[in-house]
Amino acid sequence: MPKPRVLGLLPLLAVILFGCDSGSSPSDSADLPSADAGRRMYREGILPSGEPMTAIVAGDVPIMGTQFSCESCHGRSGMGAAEGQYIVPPIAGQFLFAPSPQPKRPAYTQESLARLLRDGETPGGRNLGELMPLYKLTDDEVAAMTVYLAGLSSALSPGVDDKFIRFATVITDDVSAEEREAVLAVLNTFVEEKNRNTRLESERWDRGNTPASRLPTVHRDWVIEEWALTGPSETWNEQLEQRYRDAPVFGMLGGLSNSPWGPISNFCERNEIPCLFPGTDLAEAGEDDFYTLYYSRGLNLEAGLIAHHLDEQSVSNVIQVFCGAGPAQAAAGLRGLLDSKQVSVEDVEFDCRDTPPADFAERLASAPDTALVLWLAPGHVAGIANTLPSSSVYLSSTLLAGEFNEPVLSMPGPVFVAHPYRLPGQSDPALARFSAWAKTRGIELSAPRRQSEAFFACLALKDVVAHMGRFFIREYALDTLDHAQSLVAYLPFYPRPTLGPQQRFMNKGGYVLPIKNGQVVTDEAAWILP
Amino acid sequence: MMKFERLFVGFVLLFAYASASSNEHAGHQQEQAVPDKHAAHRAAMQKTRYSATIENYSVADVELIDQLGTSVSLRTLLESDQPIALNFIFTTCTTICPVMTATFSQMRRELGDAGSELRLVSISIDPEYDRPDKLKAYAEQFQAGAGWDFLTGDSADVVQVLKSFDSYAGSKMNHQPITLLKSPDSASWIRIDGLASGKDLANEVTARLLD
Repeated sequence: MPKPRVLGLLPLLAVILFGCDSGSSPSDSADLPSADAGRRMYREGILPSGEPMTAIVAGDVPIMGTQFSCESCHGRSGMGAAEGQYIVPPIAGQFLFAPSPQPKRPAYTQESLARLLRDGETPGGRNLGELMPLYKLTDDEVAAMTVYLAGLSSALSPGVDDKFIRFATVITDDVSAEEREAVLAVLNTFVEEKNRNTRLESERWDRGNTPASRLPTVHRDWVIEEWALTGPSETWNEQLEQRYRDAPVFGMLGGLSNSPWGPISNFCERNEIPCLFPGTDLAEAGEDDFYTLYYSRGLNLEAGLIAHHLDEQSVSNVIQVFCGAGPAQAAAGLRGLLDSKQVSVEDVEFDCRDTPPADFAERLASAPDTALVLWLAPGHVAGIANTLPSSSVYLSSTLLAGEFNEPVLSMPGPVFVAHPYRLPGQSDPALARFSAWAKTRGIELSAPRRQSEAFFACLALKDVVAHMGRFFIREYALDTLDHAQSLVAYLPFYPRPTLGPQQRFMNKGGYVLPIKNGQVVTDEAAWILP
Repeated sequence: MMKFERLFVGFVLLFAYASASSNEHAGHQQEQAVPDKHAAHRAAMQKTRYSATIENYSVADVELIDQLGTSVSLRTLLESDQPIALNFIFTTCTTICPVMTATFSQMRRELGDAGSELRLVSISIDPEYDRPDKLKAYAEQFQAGAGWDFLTGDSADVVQVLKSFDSYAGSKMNHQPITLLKSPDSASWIRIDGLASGKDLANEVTARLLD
């Protein structure tokens, strides 16, 4: 047999057992197909030649790897999934290259994997159903896939040992001490209770005489620590890397910042660390980002709502007033959206310690087709409310912290609030559940949205950790969340969240609510998905 | 889950499939006396199974939007004088949707010119994420071309549509493979439960909608 065919199981076992990747294998490493080539096939459906993989599915339907890939169904982790009545089996190396008791089959070899991929026949003699495509692959391509699958999810992720699973919550120094303590109280209480409830699990496994009682426990105590970031955001990455080097974590849980979350999300993406549900209104994610899951786009979502609403008005100029990094980012987002619609935008930026300048009021009065967007907190709105002419005014519900009070309610012009949350007055069962939980634990609700978000993050994580069983693999955790649509019932504040592969923002839309006669009008509120 | 039994009522042989107009889709799998290299392959191809039933639905009267952002009255669209093939998908579905979408493409290829009148409609059951831009990209990915509308809308409206077709499974994660066919000459729908092959669907369309 020519050399590549010899591959068989031996180097594979080396990969599986010793965790070394193909490049660092001691001997004939030059002849090993690259795991990178297999990875591209698995994730993107692209062959080493650069051509898309081709296959037949459902009997006679030709498909290409660019339409869907192995990852589309089996997940980033290769740990499989279930959807409706269809079960997608795990194909990570530790499953594929080991005998399976149910359904019964021997371990795959490269040869039997080739037969499966090409003809749909398992080494147990079973036929896979109509959902598994039958691929056209050369031996070399199967070899590359073999190497990739052998290494896929083969080792437990960092941040876990046989007793503990570690998490960090990132809090930046622009967050008030009160808010920080309010949120930490939720996280710490939840984790303490979780650990207390499972404190005997680690002693349980070696007792009793049944085989099941002798299996090592899947329970781990959770450890959560605060990673406090200080100084300008350009220095955050270095601080994060340092903390991570000192003591790696399995994932990030919650978090708090008033500055854009991008640098933290980039850190997570680069180190492949799940970053679950940070408390930020300045979410940033690249098109292909995988590791950070947000509640929503935050202020950028509000910018989208406002742009959508402006579309239906005859407005040709917009003046936006703002201070601080977050509102500046929202303003930049809105400007970008309006630029493409031939609306001219003027920015009025001021120092947050000052009162907003009001010299634009005169210009507004003389230009009837001008709308005013105030990316302002209640205090700043109060500072200029009585100087405004009767132009349309847009406000941010997030920056108003959901407070629809005077003077907002009696401003002269038509007033609209971008509101990506449940309607005021609408019941919020998840918030009620959290409030009861907090009350019985003596936690004061001083930052209800951030606190209840942190509580949701804990619930979601608990669900995911339970689902993972003994397979503490980060990508598996995220694949699990992609399919955990039922979790959204526990999410407070946001009315229509969905989870799914590629979906990195749970809540995608919102309302633009008019204020009329001193009241927020919700009767005809339309859900907008910008 | 309740539909589980009904799903396997029909058992269709791809190759031995003779009478497309028959309402009884029953048959046996051909035994291969001599095992050969491609036996498994053929067997896999022969295993596509589905059931076809005739149903009366009152289509929800809602406005949806297509992949170009154009508003569409679903009832008007489905009561047009063209034959219709409709399914439910979502772009981030990890199991049956990409297969169902590719199957629609294959059905069109199988039909060739004879199917030029057939109007394809795919309705997203994840309307919060599947906005027109996402559907447009998805349509391009599957080279959908003209005469194939990808629709989304308000989630409450989509639920209403699913319910009106007795296809609402509660959550997108319980999504079932359903194809609905309608001839312009008839008020009733042909409901296909299960993952039919492109040729199966083409045969059904030919027999029931185009003849």
